[in-house]
Amino acid sequence: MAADRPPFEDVYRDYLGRIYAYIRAQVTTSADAEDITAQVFMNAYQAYDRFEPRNLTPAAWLFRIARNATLDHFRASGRRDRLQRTIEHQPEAEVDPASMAEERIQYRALLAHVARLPERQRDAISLRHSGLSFEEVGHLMSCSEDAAKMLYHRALKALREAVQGGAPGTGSAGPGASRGEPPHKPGEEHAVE
Amino acid sequence: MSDDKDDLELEALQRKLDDAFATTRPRRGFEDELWLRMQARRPLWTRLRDGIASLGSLVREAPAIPLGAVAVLLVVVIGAGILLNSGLNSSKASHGALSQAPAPADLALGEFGKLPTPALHPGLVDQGVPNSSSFAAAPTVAVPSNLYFGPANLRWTGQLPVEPPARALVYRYSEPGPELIGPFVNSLGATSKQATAPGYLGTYSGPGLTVSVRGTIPQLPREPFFVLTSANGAGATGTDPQTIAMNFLSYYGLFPTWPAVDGGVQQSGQQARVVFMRAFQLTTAQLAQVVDWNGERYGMEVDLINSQVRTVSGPLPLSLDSTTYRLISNEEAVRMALASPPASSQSIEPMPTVNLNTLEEVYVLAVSGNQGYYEPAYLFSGTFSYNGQTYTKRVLVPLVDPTLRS
Repeated sequence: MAADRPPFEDVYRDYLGRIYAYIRAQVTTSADAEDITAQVFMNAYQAYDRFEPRNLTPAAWLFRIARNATLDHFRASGRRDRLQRTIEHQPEAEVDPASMAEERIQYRALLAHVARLPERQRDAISLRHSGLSFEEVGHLMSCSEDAAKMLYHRALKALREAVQGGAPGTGSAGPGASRGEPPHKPGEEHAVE
Repeated sequence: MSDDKDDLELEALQRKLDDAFATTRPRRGFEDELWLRMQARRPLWTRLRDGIASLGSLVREAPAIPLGAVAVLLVVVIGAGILLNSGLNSSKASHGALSQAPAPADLALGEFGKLPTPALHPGLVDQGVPNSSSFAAAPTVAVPSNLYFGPANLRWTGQLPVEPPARALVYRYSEPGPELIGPFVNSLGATSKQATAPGYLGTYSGPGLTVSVRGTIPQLPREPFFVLTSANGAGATGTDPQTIAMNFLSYYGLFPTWPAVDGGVQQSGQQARVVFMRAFQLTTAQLAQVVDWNGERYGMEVDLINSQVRTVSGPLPLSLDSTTYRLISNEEAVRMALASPPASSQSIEPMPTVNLNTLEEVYVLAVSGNQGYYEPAYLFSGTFSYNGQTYTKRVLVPLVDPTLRS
């Protein structure tokens, strides 16, 4: 193992949550997010001997794998159809009334709005708020740092409009909003305080 | 909308996004589950590397084991790891069944359905094959004579360990047929099939060796195992029994594919037995050793006479499926231990009172139909005196949620 390559277990512990959140912001169920996250780290584990930290940070390397895995997921499953089904058939009974009071519901609603942005906007928001620099976002999205910034800000405005518009679900979760009902199944995730 | 207000709203939205991403995390237990799945898929040599690590922890936990012996074993394990890692194609390891054992397949939570419930069956012994001295009985470990499994008033007075994980892996094998046995024995150089006794999957011989393979013995239970008898020790040499044993196993590609924990050397005159205890990974940081129907640890045994390996016996290298099952809590485990019926009806009068004060995380085999399951369990124990003798009482508590067991 290269001297400057941290043990894989450290990378795993450090990034599992962030990678999961990045994926979770793009898919409609936590089950899908778990599956893709598992695939990401399985692939990363196998490829870790070939990872060269001098050329790439572990974050950029892992997020690239995560991005590809998420895109593969959408290609394989036909995202629009799944999304439509989820919106149309989201059963009311799956909403846990007790958890509606919790602040994290707002966050789920917000991420649900993110998931409905156009692909590149969704990606820019997710990568940026997963802790990557604009340079890293640009690198992953095959554009310049400045282009990544512009894309991100356009995405941010689009997100604000979507949140203020109230769709999807029953509420809005942006600034000034109180809470919303997310398309994600409640109670499936553990919000870290 | 003014620019200032616009900026403020976007900043607020950014803060909310930061919070949303920072607080969205997988459910509890996912991190450990995924890590275990990744570990189960590792290639053989990396598992050997972990075996070395576990030997290190054994030194810390069991100072009674001679450090010098462990050091020697460490060196040999490292050597074996390097040999296997570098692909020692000139040895039989290159075509041994062990090195080709597929990685466990991952299945979804609870995919095996209801599991059989593991239990202790004290006092049972494998009778081997009646009227046939040429077929070996199941390898046995020395069972202390002062074990007591009868009725007792039980109390828990020990300290509970850290709560077990919410879920842990259960491993499953399917009973092997002749189609799997052939390649295994052939890889050892045993190609000539001998008469097969009932209960055996086959006996084969080759230059200087005989290999018998026996199927699952459900009543104990015991997983399929092999017994290799060597006439010449395959020329495995070394300065001590452990080194010789390791060289022998490396030569035949028989080094355990499972995490092996040093079981020490039992020596008597010119005879020696080197033992590698079998373990499974219970959590990312913890191995749990496999125990048999008496609650004794076991694994692979190498018997030597005059520094020559004579027999090797151990679990047949089989591919395992694995999936996670929900576990009970420590509190529940203690409650079950105290309420559990005795494993044996043989009793001491008056009924002794036993303070159970130690417990060990273990894996134990349970068999159902054509499949065997290695399931996590707690093995409680405590001692009491009777007629001037000290006895040990053992209680096995399966950790898999009872609603998921039959």
